[in-house]
Amino acid sequence: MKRDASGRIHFKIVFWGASPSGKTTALKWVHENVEGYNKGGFTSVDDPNGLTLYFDYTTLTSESNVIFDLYTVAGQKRHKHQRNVVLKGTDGVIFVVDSSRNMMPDNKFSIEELRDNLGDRLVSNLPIVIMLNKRDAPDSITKKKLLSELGLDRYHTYETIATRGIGIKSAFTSLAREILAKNLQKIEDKQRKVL
Amino acid sequence: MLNVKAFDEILSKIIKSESGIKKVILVDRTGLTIAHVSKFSYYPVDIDGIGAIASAVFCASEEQGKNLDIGELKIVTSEFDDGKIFAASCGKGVLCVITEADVNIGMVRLVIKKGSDKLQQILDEFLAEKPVAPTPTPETTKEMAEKEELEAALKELEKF
Amino acid sequence: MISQKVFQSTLKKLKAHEGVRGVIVTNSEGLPISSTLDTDKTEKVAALITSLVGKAKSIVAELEEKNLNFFTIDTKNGEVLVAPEETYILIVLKDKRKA
Ligand SMILES: Nc1nc2c(ncn2[C@@H]2O[C@H](COP(=O)(O)OP(=O)(O)OP(=O)(O)O)[C@@H](O)[C@H]2O)c(=O)[nH]1
Ligand SMILES: [Mg+2]
Repeated sequence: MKRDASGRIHFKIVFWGASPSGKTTALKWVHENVEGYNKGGFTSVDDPNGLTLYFDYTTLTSESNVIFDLYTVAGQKRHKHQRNVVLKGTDGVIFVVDSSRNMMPDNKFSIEELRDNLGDRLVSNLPIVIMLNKRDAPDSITKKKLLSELGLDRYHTYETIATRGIGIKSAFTSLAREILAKNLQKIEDKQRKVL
Repeated sequence: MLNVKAFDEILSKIIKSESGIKKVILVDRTGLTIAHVSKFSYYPVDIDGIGAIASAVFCASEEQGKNLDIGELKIVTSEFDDGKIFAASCGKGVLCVITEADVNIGMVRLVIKKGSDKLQQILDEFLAEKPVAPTPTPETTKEMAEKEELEAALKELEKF
Repeated sequence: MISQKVFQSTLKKLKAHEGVRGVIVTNSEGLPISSTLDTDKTEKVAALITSLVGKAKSIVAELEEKNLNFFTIDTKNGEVLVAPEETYILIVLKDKRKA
């Protein structure tokens, strides 16, 4: 949680996951279908094939001046440094898993990299939500198997099809809620200490 | 508590100091736009998006410098047909100056150097503070206000 | 385009003149090309003088006085001599001439 010079509260959320698990597709869907919140522009730094080169970025602003800064990372292995830059200062992560069978090694690589990058922050309960994407893929692995093989059993998980917008809203709102609740809790704890 | 004016004042001074400067944006190294000023709004731009890229570009160059072991990064200059972008390190932030193509580069660099020293200072104070409401209020009231904002955002989330 | 050798020797000659504190050549964007002074001072002088040359040029044009060839800034400490050429500006910092 941060404030800008105008006093508005910002939360940064990063969509993390292998290429092409569907991070950009999911963020675009959020951007195009959001209601209630005010949406900002959509910025993409991508390659000629539409794969992300650096990041996608968009904002959602609530009436009460809380802003979610939403980013995707570039999932291709060679963009490691870009991913590190984008992940800095994040308040929550949506980990996007590609359910296709042959994507398992890439999913594993991606979650390991996230764990390495977050280090202590992962342990200290950084809000994370899992999107099991491409549930429509013909060779998709079962939810149970995906979660246990990736060691993700303890997180909120949503089965999604980003191309059709299925489950995206739930995954996003779940993470946003967790982030807001966590920060509310922090304030309440502090108040209790004062009393 | 620092007020918004402290940033605005410095950014405005920068933008006024040379005729070719069109926009000045202060971002942090996580892509957050902290403050900005513009001379004219020729066309509406997504400042937050511009800030995010500015920060990312600067951090990427910084990373490149680390990999090549060539010391600290000071200024990144991007030259386009119809304009230039300067991004300069200022402590925990990045100062981004957008200009016309035929600007006095030397002058811009000078202005950036002067401005970034001052910005670095107030930025450190700004970031060191607990994130609180912009008006000076007793600690508990600030927290109450903060709580209300977060609760309101939570409610709005349900409309999404 | 003059050769680097001729360029450097010309600068040296200028610098050797009595009372000359420094010689700076800057491009029209205010970026120093060559200088006998330290970096900070050089950047400052180049930027500020280039900015002044821009203003002077527009004044000359406004007054319909044709081309700007040369100007001097006379100060208590000395003089700043400015010769704006097509692609660069030659700047000489001088001590006050002794009477
Ligand atoms: N069948 C199916 N295809 C999907 C789904 N989500 C995304 N795709 C497709 O997968 C491809 C890659 O999607 P992107 O969103 O660009 O992937 P990404 O994760 O952003 O990839 P990088 O930017 O390289 O990290 C596109 O062709 C999408 O249409 C899904 O749920 N089901
Ligand atoms: Mg992408």
